[in-house]
Amino acid sequence: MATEVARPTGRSHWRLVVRECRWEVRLLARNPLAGLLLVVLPVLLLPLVHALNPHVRVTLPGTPRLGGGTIGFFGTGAAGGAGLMTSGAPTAAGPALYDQYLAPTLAAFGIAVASFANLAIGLTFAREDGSLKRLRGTPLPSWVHLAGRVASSLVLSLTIAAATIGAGVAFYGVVVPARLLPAAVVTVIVGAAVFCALGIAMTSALPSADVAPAAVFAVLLPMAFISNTFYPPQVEPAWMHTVARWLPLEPLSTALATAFNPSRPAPGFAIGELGALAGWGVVGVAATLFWFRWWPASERTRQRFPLVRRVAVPVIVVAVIVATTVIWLNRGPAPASAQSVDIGALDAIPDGGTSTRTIDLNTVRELSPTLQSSSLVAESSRLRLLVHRVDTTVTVVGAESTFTQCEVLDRAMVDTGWLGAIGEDPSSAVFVDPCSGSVFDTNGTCISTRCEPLLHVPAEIHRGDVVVRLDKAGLTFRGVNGVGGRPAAIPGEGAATYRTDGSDPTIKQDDLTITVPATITVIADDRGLRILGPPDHQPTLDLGLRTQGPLAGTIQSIALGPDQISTAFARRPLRWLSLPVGQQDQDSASGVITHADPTSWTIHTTARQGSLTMAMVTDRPLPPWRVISLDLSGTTPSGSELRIRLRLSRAA
Amino acid sequence: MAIVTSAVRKSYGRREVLRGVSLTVASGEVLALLGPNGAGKTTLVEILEGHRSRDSGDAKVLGFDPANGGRRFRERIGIVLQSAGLDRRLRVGETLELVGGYYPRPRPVDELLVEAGLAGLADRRVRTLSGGERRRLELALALVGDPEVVFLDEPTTGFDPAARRAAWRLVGALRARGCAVFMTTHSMEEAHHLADRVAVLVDGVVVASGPPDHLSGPDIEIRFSADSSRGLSPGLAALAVVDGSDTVLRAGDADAVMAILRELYDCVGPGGIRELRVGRRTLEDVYLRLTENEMDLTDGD
Repeated sequence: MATEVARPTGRSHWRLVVRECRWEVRLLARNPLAGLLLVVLPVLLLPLVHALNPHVRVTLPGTPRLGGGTIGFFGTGAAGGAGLMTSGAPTAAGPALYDQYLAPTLAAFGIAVASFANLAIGLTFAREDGSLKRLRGTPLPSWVHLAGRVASSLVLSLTIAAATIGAGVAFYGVVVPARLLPAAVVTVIVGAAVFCALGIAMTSALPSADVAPAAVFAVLLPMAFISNTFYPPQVEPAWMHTVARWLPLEPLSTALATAFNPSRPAPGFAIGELGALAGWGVVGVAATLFWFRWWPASERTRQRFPLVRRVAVPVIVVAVIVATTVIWLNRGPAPASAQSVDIGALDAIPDGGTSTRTIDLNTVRELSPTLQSSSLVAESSRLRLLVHRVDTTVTVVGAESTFTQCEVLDRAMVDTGWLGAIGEDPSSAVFVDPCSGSVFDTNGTCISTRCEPLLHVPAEIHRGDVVVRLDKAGLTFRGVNGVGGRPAAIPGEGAATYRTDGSDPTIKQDDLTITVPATITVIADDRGLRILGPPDHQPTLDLGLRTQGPLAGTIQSIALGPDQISTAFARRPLRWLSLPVGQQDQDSASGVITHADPTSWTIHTTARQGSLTMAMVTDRPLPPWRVISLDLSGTTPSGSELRIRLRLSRAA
Repeated sequence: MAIVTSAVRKSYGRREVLRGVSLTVASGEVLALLGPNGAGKTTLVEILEGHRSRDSGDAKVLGFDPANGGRRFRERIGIVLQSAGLDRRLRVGETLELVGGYYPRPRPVDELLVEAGLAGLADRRVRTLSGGERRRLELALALVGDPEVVFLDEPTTGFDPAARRAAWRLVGALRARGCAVFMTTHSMEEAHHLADRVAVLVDGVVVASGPPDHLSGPDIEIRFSADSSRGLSPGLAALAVVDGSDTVLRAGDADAVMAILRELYDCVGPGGIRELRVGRRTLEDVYLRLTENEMDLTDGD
């Protein structure tokens, strides 16, 4: 033919890759079941999973972590007591809507289907019907064909991710932070490439085309189920999560959710997860190089026991590893008694006093590294602390004989929202979304859109101290039962320092004592100790505090009252407080703290150094304040008392 | 020579499949490789195609060592595998277009369709093709790169007689273009019709090779069923070979045939023989005898 141009050899490799990719995409689009449904599947799942998890909030992965725990205070001032509940991960931002987590997770699942399932099944079919073998007889370099298939999977994965996230944006208010988009795209591509490598490797474990779809989904679906694809992460037992983290899908989900986390600063790459993915990529490529075959299984004659070598051995090895891991990880919490650490009877607590008993949970073998849920049950005068997982020391301070039951904290409540106070029924538990003020019960059902009625806590239940232990690991225990003594004991007028050790409050006329009211959060981490209210307003006033010496021992009482401020700014609610250790600048913003009557709390810290900075924010500018002094008092390791007293004055 | 092999050996585990195979195929020549199942035909073809490696011996196709011929080697060969290997999602024309893109000088799709007897099927999905149509498409695919050497591993399996004739014409056209064709087949008719030379591979060894007519030899066979009650004359009995229920006599030329038949009639009288057949030995006869003997031999080892 005259139009044909004779070339010494065919097209360049990369143009051939593009050509293969375009053909694959064309063929995918041609088959609605294989192509279109792949794209639609995660989009279909989105409303379903959304509907199954109403009102759920999730702490997004990659949210800047501030430490080991969060305490929410709920107080009603003089009318009643104040409640304290704890939560799980303390973060700079509050929990986000589940959809913000769900959409990237389903996108990750879609990517796995488009890459892993698509390639594993497609290649196995192509291998078994001889297509791959025939390709090997053409001038097309075999890697070009694979690269074309991988490239088409990347295209499909990007489409699926865009469709899923797009559906989330359109219907469920998912936010796409533009500054994180590069991270999102890179994560999708890396994830898809890794799942492609695993998909190609998987074909060598598939002896025939018949078993391919079943086997692939037998691998993919359980992995998706334990990788938080279809439910909020807090639902998952810790051991299952640990297993998932060793598999490739969870890192991809997490990395993708991180890339859609609005509280995340740019660039938003989840380095750890991407590293884990890269590790799986290496596994996939290595397995491909070692095991991948172009020929139909029936025509392979070289191996005497191909089934044993190719399938049985790896499957058995993986199964043994997985089973061992699961059993090992799951061995702890099985018996109820293992979850319960009896810390013995507390000494009788004098009225308004405290009793302290400290246990080192490292000595309890059954407990795993991170405190994720705890339950505190007082049976008559005995305090039984149920701790599922704790890494360091738990200090329990205070309980009184009339204390019947405190709070059962579990991850579902902890991460879904902020725990609320105990209701009239001491065994009931609620949690409060500080942003909306809505109150939910343990099933996630909205009980009330206002939290106040439930914050009324009978005083006799509500006795005891807040206990926080701060060390290098951050906050390692999230509180006990209540705050302060009887509210009536706190003077409503004048500045007061109130300590929960039972001593009478002393009015210090020169001190500015700020009461922490209503709903706030205490965060302790390596950056310091902060007290946050609900996040919705900008900070407008900073109060700097300096310690007079290095922090050491236990800060036992920080007592702040509203009076000094209230005289000047009577109607202005306090926004937030921060006591960072060793750092001056805080950029966290928090929301409304309802002005309330004085109460106080106790913070136990073992911070060894750094200055203590306290910041306070109101909803409108306040005149500058100057720190006069901060007194520390409390119990140092050597046993002496350490107390913090905040002294402020207006700047001249 | 387009294809040269000498003393090619190949074992799978302890089983030796090829035990020193030496063959040549010239450009413009069609070699048909015959042999029973398991003789090593496909292994040999796949070694020459570059699909399999050989353990020892030498193989050259177009001057390339097929084991590492690479892209330039495969640009110049065409392969029809024993098993299919077509993407069922594609259309017929697309398949040729896609694979043609791998070659530097692909032949026009329309031309190939006509040649392979697939004219008018360009828009049919591969999935919907009949077995014979699919096989023809594979044949067309082998030719899409305008190859200089074509390997056909049982290319007409599943063809109806008309399609087979068309495929044969196609192979004839290839030969006319100067293409070397290396084919395996179980069809003696096909080998006889197509091949310039036939090689019989039995148990990894070429036991015979040559033009089909040479293989079948010059003898004329007289084959009949004899009633055992009537004996042959001593002269005929010495010549006769019993083959199952048949008695076979061989003659060098037509006169000898006539002489034998006359003597036979004298011996057995009217109605004494049934199912008399006189004819040249077919390639199949030769093949069966070769393979039978060889198998007996190997069984005896």
